[in-house]
Amino acid sequence: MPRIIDYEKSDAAKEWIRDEGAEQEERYKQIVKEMDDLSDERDVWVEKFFERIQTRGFNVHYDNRRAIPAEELPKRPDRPFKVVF
Amino acid sequence: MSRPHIEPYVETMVPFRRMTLPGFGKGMHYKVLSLDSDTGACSLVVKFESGYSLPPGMSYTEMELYVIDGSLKFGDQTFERGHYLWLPAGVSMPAMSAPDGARLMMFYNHGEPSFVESEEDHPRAERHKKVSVNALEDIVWGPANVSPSVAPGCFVKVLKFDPLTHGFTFMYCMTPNFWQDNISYHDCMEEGYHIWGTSWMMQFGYLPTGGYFWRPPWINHGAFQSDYGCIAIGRTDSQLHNYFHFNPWTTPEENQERAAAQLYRQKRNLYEWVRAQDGHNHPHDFEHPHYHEHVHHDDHD
Repeated sequence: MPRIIDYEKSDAAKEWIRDEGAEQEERYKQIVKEMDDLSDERDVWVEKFFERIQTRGFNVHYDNRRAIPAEELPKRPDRPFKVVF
Repeated sequence: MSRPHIEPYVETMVPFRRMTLPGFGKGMHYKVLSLDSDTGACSLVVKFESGYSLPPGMSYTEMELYVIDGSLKFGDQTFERGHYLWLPAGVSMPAMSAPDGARLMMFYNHGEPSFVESEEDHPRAERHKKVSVNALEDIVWGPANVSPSVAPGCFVKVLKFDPLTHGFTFMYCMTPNFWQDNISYHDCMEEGYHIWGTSWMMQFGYLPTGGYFWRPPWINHGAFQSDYGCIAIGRTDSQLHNYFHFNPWTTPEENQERAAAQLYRQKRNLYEWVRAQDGHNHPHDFEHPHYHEHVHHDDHD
Protein backbone atom coordinates (compact mmCIF):
# COMPACT_ATOMS: atom_id res chain seq x y z
CA MET A 1 0.00 0.00 0.00
CA PRO A 2 1.93 3.08 -1.16
CA ARG A 3 1.29 5.78 1.41
CA ILE A 4 3.84 7.84 -0.45
CA ILE A 5 5.08 7.72 -4.06
CA ASP A 6 8.87 7.69 -4.38
CA TYR A 7 10.18 11.09 -5.42
CA GLU A 8 13.17 13.32 -4.85
CA LYS A 9 12.66 16.26 -2.51
CA SER A 10 13.37 19.61 -4.15
CA ASP A 11 15.74 22.12 -2.54
CA ALA A 12 12.70 24.34 -1.95
CA ALA A 13 10.98 21.51 -0.08
CA LYS A 14 14.05 20.82 2.06
CA GLU A 15 14.32 24.51 2.92
CA TRP A 16 10.60 24.68 3.76
CA ILE A 17 10.86 21.70 6.10
CA ARG A 18 13.96 23.16 7.76
CA ASP A 19 12.35 26.57 8.29
CA GLU A 20 9.04 25.22 9.54
CA GLY A 21 10.83 22.74 11.78
CA ALA A 22 12.82 25.57 13.37
CA GLU A 23 9.62 27.52 13.99
CA GLN A 24 8.01 24.46 15.52
CA GLU A 25 10.91 24.14 17.98
CA GLU A 26 10.22 27.70 19.14
CA ARG A 27 6.51 26.97 19.35
CA TYR A 28 7.22 23.91 21.47
CA LYS A 29 9.35 25.94 23.89
CA GLN A 30 6.58 28.51 24.19
CA ILE A 31 4.02 25.79 24.94
CA VAL A 32 6.26 24.32 27.65
CA LYS A 33 6.61 27.77 29.23
CA GLU A 34 2.86 28.42 29.10
CA MET A 35 2.15 25.05 30.69
CA ASP A 36 4.74 25.70 33.42
CA ASP A 37 3.06 29.05 34.09
CA LEU A 38 -0.21 27.17 34.63
CA SER A 39 1.24 25.04 37.45
CA ASP A 40 -0.44 26.74 40.44
CA GLU A 41 -3.85 26.73 38.76
CA ARG A 42 -3.36 23.09 37.73
CA ASP A 43 -2.63 22.09 41.32
CA VAL A 44 -6.03 23.49 42.31
CA TRP A 45 -7.66 21.59 39.45
CA VAL A 46 -6.05 18.37 40.70
CA GLU A 47 -7.38 18.95 44.23
CA LYS A 48 -10.88 19.50 42.87
CA PHE A 49 -10.54 16.38 40.70
CA PHE A 50 -9.64 14.34 43.78
CA GLU A 51 -12.68 15.75 45.59
CA ARG A 52 -15.00 14.85 42.72
CA ILE A 53 -13.76 11.27 42.26
CA GLN A 54 -14.27 10.65 45.99
CA THR A 55 -17.85 11.92 45.84
CA ARG A 56 -19.39 11.90 42.35
CA GLY A 57 -17.05 9.12 41.28
CA PHE A 58 -14.26 8.18 38.87
CA ASN A 59 -15.41 7.36 35.31
CA VAL A 60 -14.54 3.68 34.85
CA HIS A 61 -16.44 3.11 31.60
CA TYR A 62 -19.13 5.25 29.92
CA ASP A 63 -21.63 5.93 32.76
CA ASN A 64 -20.08 3.44 35.20
CA ARG A 65 -18.47 5.33 38.06
CA ARG A 66 -16.70 4.34 41.26
CA ALA A 67 -16.16 6.51 44.33
CA ILE A 68 -12.46 6.39 45.17
CA PRO A 69 -11.62 5.95 48.90
CA ALA A 70 -9.19 8.53 50.26
CA GLU A 71 -6.58 5.86 50.95
CA GLU A 72 -6.44 4.99 47.23
CA LEU A 73 -5.53 8.52 46.16
CA PRO A 74 -1.96 8.80 44.85
CA LYS A 75 0.74 10.71 46.68
CA ARG A 76 2.48 13.44 44.75
CA PRO A 77 6.00 12.28 43.86
CA ASP A 78 9.08 14.38 44.56
CA ARG A 79 9.72 15.46 40.99
CA PRO A 80 8.49 18.24 38.68
CA PHE A 81 4.90 17.87 37.47
CA LYS A 82 5.39 17.83 33.69
CA VAL A 83 2.47 17.74 31.27
CA VAL A 84 4.30 18.37 27.98
CA PHE A 85 6.86 15.77 26.87
CA MET B 1 5.08 9.71 12.17
CA SER B 2 7.42 11.51 14.48
CA ARG B 3 6.40 14.93 15.71
CA PRO B 4 6.92 16.66 19.05
CA HIS B 5 4.18 16.96 21.63
CA ILE B 6 2.29 20.08 20.53
CA GLU B 7 -0.42 20.70 23.14
CA PRO B 8 -2.16 23.02 23.44
CA TYR B 9 -1.71 25.32 20.44
CA VAL B 10 -4.30 27.89 19.41
CA GLU B 11 -3.81 29.00 15.82
CA THR B 12 -6.41 31.77 15.62
CA MET B 13 -4.04 34.55 16.71
CA VAL B 14 -1.27 33.44 14.32
CA PRO B 15 -1.17 34.99 10.83
CA PHE B 16 -1.42 32.90 7.68
CA ARG B 17 1.70 32.52 5.58
CA ARG B 18 1.85 32.41 1.79
CA MET B 19 2.51 28.92 0.42
CA THR B 20 5.76 28.94 -1.53
CA LEU B 21 6.24 25.25 -2.21
CA PRO B 22 6.39 24.37 -5.92
CA GLY B 23 3.16 23.59 -7.73
CA PHE B 24 0.64 25.42 -5.56
CA GLY B 25 0.69 28.76 -7.40
CA LYS B 26 -0.55 32.00 -5.86
CA GLY B 27 -3.48 32.39 -3.51
CA MET B 28 -2.83 29.59 -1.01
CA HIS B 29 -1.98 30.49 2.59
CA TYR B 30 -1.30 28.17 5.53
CA LYS B 31 -0.46 27.75 9.18
CA VAL B 32 1.51 24.73 10.34
CA LEU B 33 -0.13 23.01 13.29
CA SER B 34 2.47 20.25 13.55
CA LEU B 35 5.27 18.94 11.40
CA ASP B 36 7.51 15.90 11.13
CA SER B 37 10.81 17.66 10.53
CA ASP B 38 12.34 14.50 9.04
CA THR B 39 9.78 13.86 6.33
CA GLY B 40 7.84 17.13 6.06
CA ALA B 41 4.55 15.38 6.90
CA CYS B 42 2.33 18.01 8.45
CA SER B 43 -1.10 19.17 9.55
CA LEU B 44 -2.14 22.56 8.24
CA VAL B 45 -4.93 25.08 8.42
CA VAL B 46 -5.19 26.43 4.88
CA LYS B 47 -6.89 29.44 3.35
CA PHE B 48 -7.60 29.67 -0.38
CA GLU B 49 -8.20 33.19 -1.67
CA SER B 50 -11.33 33.80 -3.73
CA GLY B 51 -10.61 32.60 -7.24
CA TYR B 52 -7.74 30.30 -6.28
CA SER B 53 -7.39 27.43 -8.69
CA LEU B 54 -5.20 24.46 -9.51
CA PRO B 55 -5.00 22.34 -12.65
CA PRO B 56 -5.64 18.59 -12.48
CA GLY B 57 -2.96 16.99 -10.34
CA MET B 58 -1.83 14.69 -7.56
CA SER B 59 0.12 14.59 -4.31
CA TYR B 60 3.10 12.29 -3.75
CA THR B 61 1.85 11.51 -0.26
CA GLU B 62 -1.58 10.45 0.91
CA MET B 63 -3.52 13.51 1.90
CA GLU B 64 -6.63 14.36 3.90
CA LEU B 65 -8.77 17.45 3.58
CA TYR B 66 -11.68 18.86 5.59
CA VAL B 67 -13.59 21.99 4.50
CA ILE B 68 -14.09 24.27 7.52
CA ASP B 69 -15.67 27.20 5.65
CA GLY B 70 -16.44 28.06 2.04
CA SER B 71 -16.48 25.55 -0.79
CA LEU B 72 -14.22 23.90 -3.36
CA LYS B 73 -15.01 22.78 -6.88
CA PHE B 74 -13.25 19.69 -8.21
CA GLY B 75 -14.36 19.30 -11.82
CA ASP B 76 -18.16 19.08 -11.67
CA GLN B 77 -18.23 18.26 -7.92
CA THR B 78 -18.59 20.85 -5.16
CA PHE B 79 -17.23 20.21 -1.69
CA GLU B 80 -19.20 22.30 0.80
CA ARG B 81 -18.49 23.00 4.47
CA GLY B 82 -17.92 19.73 6.30
CA HIS B 83 -16.67 17.80 3.29
CA TYR B 84 -13.94 15.28 4.05
CA LEU B 85 -11.60 13.78 1.45
CA TRP B 86 -8.98 11.07 1.97
CA LEU B 87 -6.82 10.85 -1.12
CA PRO B 88 -4.34 8.01 -1.53
CA ALA B 89 -0.89 8.93 -2.82
CA GLY B 90 -0.74 9.54 -6.56
CA VAL B 91 -4.49 9.80 -7.21
CA SER B 92 -5.16 12.61 -9.68
CA MET B 93 -7.96 15.05 -8.90
CA PRO B 94 -9.73 17.19 -11.52
CA ALA B 95 -9.04 20.93 -11.81
CA MET B 96 -9.85 22.65 -8.51
CA SER B 97 -11.14 26.12 -7.78
CA ALA B 98 -12.40 28.09 -4.80
CA PRO B 99 -14.59 30.79 -6.43
CA ASP B 100 -15.51 32.40 -3.09
CA GLY B 101 -12.51 31.25 -1.09
CA ALA B 102 -12.30 28.47 1.49
CA ARG B 103 -10.67 27.54 4.78
CA LEU B 104 -9.65 23.94 5.33
CA MET B 105 -7.67 21.45 7.33
CA MET B 106 -5.10 19.63 5.22
CA PHE B 107 -3.07 16.65 6.40
CA TYR B 108 -0.05 15.50 4.36
CA ASN B 109 0.68 12.22 6.06
CA HIS B 110 4.07 11.01 4.87
CA GLY B 111 5.83 13.94 3.15
CA GLU B 112 5.68 17.69 2.73
CA PRO B 113 2.80 19.25 0.77
CA SER B 114 3.29 18.43 -2.89
CA PHE B 115 1.29 19.06 -6.03
CA VAL B 116 2.19 17.69 -9.44
CA GLU B 117 0.14 18.53 -12.52
CA SER B 118 -1.29 15.33 -13.97
CA GLU B 119 -4.55 14.29 -15.56
CA GLU B 120 -3.80 10.64 -14.82
CA ASP B 121 -3.18 8.65 -11.68
CA HIS B 122 0.35 7.56 -10.86
CA PRO B 123 0.75 3.86 -11.79
CA ARG B 124 0.97 2.94 -8.07
CA ALA B 125 -2.05 4.97 -7.01
CA GLU B 126 -4.90 3.12 -5.28
CA ARG B 127 -7.90 5.12 -6.42
CA HIS B 128 -10.41 2.58 -5.08
CA LYS B 129 -9.40 3.56 -1.53
CA LYS B 130 -10.40 7.20 -1.90
CA VAL B 131 -12.91 8.44 0.69
CA SER B 132 -15.11 11.44 -0.09
CA VAL B 133 -18.03 12.29 2.21
CA ASN B 134 -19.78 15.27 3.72
CA ALA B 135 -19.16 14.71 7.41
CA LEU B 136 -21.87 17.10 8.55
CA GLU B 137 -24.69 15.83 6.35
CA ASP B 138 -23.93 12.21 5.42
CA ILE B 139 -22.90 10.67 8.76
CA VAL B 140 -24.80 10.66 12.07
CA TRP B 141 -23.27 11.13 15.50
CA GLY B 142 -22.89 7.92 17.48
CA PRO B 143 -21.36 6.86 20.79
CA ALA B 144 -17.64 6.08 20.78
CA ASN B 145 -17.44 2.37 20.06
CA VAL B 146 -14.54 1.55 22.39
CA SER B 147 -14.23 -0.08 25.80
CA PRO B 148 -13.55 1.37 28.23
CA SER B 149 -15.48 4.26 26.77
CA VAL B 150 -15.61 8.00 27.14
CA ALA B 151 -18.47 9.32 29.26
CA PRO B 152 -22.01 9.92 27.96
CA GLY B 153 -22.18 13.14 25.98
CA CYS B 154 -19.13 12.59 23.78
CA PHE B 155 -20.15 11.49 20.28
CA VAL B 156 -18.17 10.44 17.24
CA LYS B 157 -18.45 10.26 13.44
CA VAL B 158 -15.88 8.01 11.80
CA LEU B 159 -14.70 9.58 8.54
CA LYS B 160 -12.02 7.09 7.56
CA PHE B 161 -10.95 3.82 9.16
CA ASP B 162 -7.75 1.95 8.28
CA PRO B 163 -8.52 -1.78 8.48
CA LEU B 164 -4.83 -2.65 8.82
CA THR B 165 -3.85 -0.37 11.72
CA HIS B 166 -7.31 0.56 13.05
CA GLY B 167 -6.11 4.14 12.94
CA PHE B 168 -8.95 6.47 12.06
CA THR B 169 -9.97 10.01 11.27
CA PHE B 170 -13.09 11.15 13.04
CA MET B 171 -15.17 14.04 14.17
CA TYR B 172 -16.03 14.24 17.83
CA CYS B 173 -18.27 16.50 19.82
CA MET B 174 -18.98 17.14 23.46
CA THR B 175 -22.48 18.14 24.47
CA PRO B 176 -22.98 21.19 26.73
CA ASN B 177 -22.13 20.38 30.36
CA PHE B 178 -20.04 17.37 29.36
CA TRP B 179 -17.69 16.05 32.02
CA GLN B 180 -15.54 12.98 32.42
CA ASP B 181 -13.62 12.49 35.63
CA ASN B 182 -10.71 10.27 34.73
CA ILE B 183 -7.25 10.65 33.24
CA SER B 184 -6.64 8.90 29.95
CA TYR B 185 -3.69 7.97 27.80
CA HIS B 186 -3.34 5.90 24.65
CA ASP B 187 -0.75 3.66 23.00
CA CYS B 188 -1.28 5.56 19.76
CA MET B 189 -0.74 9.10 18.58
CA GLU B 190 -3.80 11.31 18.86
CA GLU B 191 -4.44 14.62 17.12
CA GLY B 192 -7.34 17.04 17.45
CA TYR B 193 -8.48 20.44 16.20
CA HIS B 194 -11.43 22.38 17.57
CA ILE B 195 -13.62 23.53 14.70
CA TRP B 196 -15.94 25.22 17.18
CA GLY B 197 -16.32 25.49 20.93
CA THR B 198 -14.21 25.08 24.04
CA SER B 199 -13.21 22.08 26.11
CA TRP B 200 -11.04 21.80 29.20
CA MET B 201 -8.45 19.28 30.30
CA MET B 202 -6.86 19.18 33.73
CA GLN B 203 -3.31 19.26 32.32
CA PHE B 204 -3.66 21.86 29.58
CA GLY B 205 -6.53 24.12 30.57
CA TYR B 206 -9.02 25.49 28.08
CA LEU B 207 -8.89 24.60 24.37
CA PRO B 208 -11.03 27.08 22.38
CA THR B 209 -12.11 27.28 18.74
CA GLY B 210 -8.93 26.92 16.69
CA GLY B 211 -7.27 24.92 19.48
CA TYR B 212 -5.07 22.03 18.43
CA PHE B 213 -3.02 19.18 19.83
CA TRP B 214 -0.63 16.56 18.48
CA ARG B 215 -0.13 14.13 21.31
CA PRO B 216 2.37 11.24 21.11
CA PRO B 217 1.50 7.96 22.89
CA TRP B 218 1.45 7.52 26.69
CA ILE B 219 0.74 11.15 27.66
CA ASN B 220 -1.85 11.86 30.34
CA HIS B 221 -4.86 13.97 29.40
CA GLY B 222 -8.05 14.55 31.37
CA ALA B 223 -10.18 15.00 33.39
CA PHE B 224 -12.40 16.61 30.75
CA GLN B 225 -15.14 19.21 30.71
CA SER B 226 -17.02 21.35 28.23
CA ASP B 227 -19.50 23.97 29.50
CA TYR B 228 -21.14 24.85 26.18
CA GLY B 229 -20.00 21.98 23.96
CA CYS B 230 -17.51 21.69 21.14
CA ILE B 231 -17.05 20.04 17.74
CA ALA B 232 -13.66 18.84 16.55
CA ILE B 233 -11.79 16.68 14.06
CA GLY B 234 -9.39 14.05 15.33
CA ARG B 235 -7.02 11.38 14.07
CA THR B 236 -5.06 8.44 15.42
CA ASP B 237 -2.29 6.37 13.79
CA SER B 238 -3.51 3.03 15.20
CA GLN B 239 -6.25 1.58 17.37
CA LEU B 240 -7.39 3.92 20.13
CA HIS B 241 -7.60 2.28 23.54
CA ASN B 242 -8.45 4.32 26.63
CA TYR B 243 -6.14 3.57 29.55
CA PHE B 244 -8.04 5.31 32.37
CA HIS B 245 -6.63 6.06 35.82
CA PHE B 246 -6.60 8.81 38.43
CA ASN B 247 -2.94 9.54 39.09
CA PRO B 248 -2.11 12.93 37.52
CA TRP B 249 1.62 12.61 38.18
CA THR B 250 2.56 9.48 36.23
CA THR B 251 5.17 9.74 33.48
CA PRO B 252 4.87 8.40 29.92
CA GLU B 253 7.31 5.63 30.88
CA GLU B 254 5.16 4.57 33.84
CA ASN B 255 2.06 4.69 31.65
CA GLN B 256 3.75 2.52 29.05
CA GLU B 257 4.73 -0.08 31.66
CA ARG B 258 1.17 -0.10 33.01
CA ALA B 259 -0.22 -0.60 29.49
CA ALA B 260 2.09 -3.58 29.00
CA ALA B 261 0.95 -5.02 32.34
CA GLN B 262 -2.65 -4.67 31.18
CA LEU B 263 -1.79 -6.35 27.89
CA TYR B 264 -0.28 -9.25 29.85
CA ARG B 265 -3.52 -9.63 31.82
CA GLN B 266 -5.93 -9.13 28.95
CA LYS B 267 -4.14 -10.79 25.99
CA ARG B 268 -1.76 -13.11 27.80
CA ASN B 269 -1.33 -15.69 25.04
CA LEU B 270 -0.49 -13.07 22.45
CA TYR B 271 1.81 -11.22 24.86
CA GLU B 272 3.80 -14.33 25.67
CA TRP B 273 4.13 -15.33 22.02
CA VAL B 274 5.38 -11.89 20.97
CA ARG B 275 7.93 -11.61 23.77
CA ALA B 276 9.50 -14.99 22.99
CA GLN B 277 12.85 -15.28 24.74
CA ASP B 278 14.67 -16.50 21.63
CA GLY B 279 13.53 -13.50 19.59
CA HIS B 280 12.25 -15.56 16.64
CA ASN B 281 8.55 -14.82 16.79
CA HIS B 282 8.04 -12.31 14.01
CA PRO B 283 4.57 -10.99 13.20
CA HIS B 284 3.31 -12.25 9.86
CA ASP B 285 -0.15 -11.60 8.46
CA PHE B 286 -1.21 -14.15 5.84
CA GLU B 287 -3.74 -11.65 4.51
CA HIS B 288 -1.15 -8.87 4.21
CA PRO B 289 2.20 -10.63 3.91
CA HIS B 290 4.09 -7.55 2.73
CA TYR B 291 2.97 -5.22 5.51
CA HIS B 292 5.99 -4.62 7.75
CA GLU B 293 7.27 -8.03 6.69
CA HIS B 294 10.84 -7.02 7.36
CA VAL B 295 10.32 -5.75 10.87
CA HIS B 296 12.71 -7.57 13.17
CA HIS B 297 12.83 -6.85 16.86
CA ASP B 298 16.48 -7.34 17.61
CA ASP B 299 16.14 -5.94 21.09
CA HIS B 300 14.35 -8.96 22.55
CA ASP B 301 15.81 -9.97 25.85
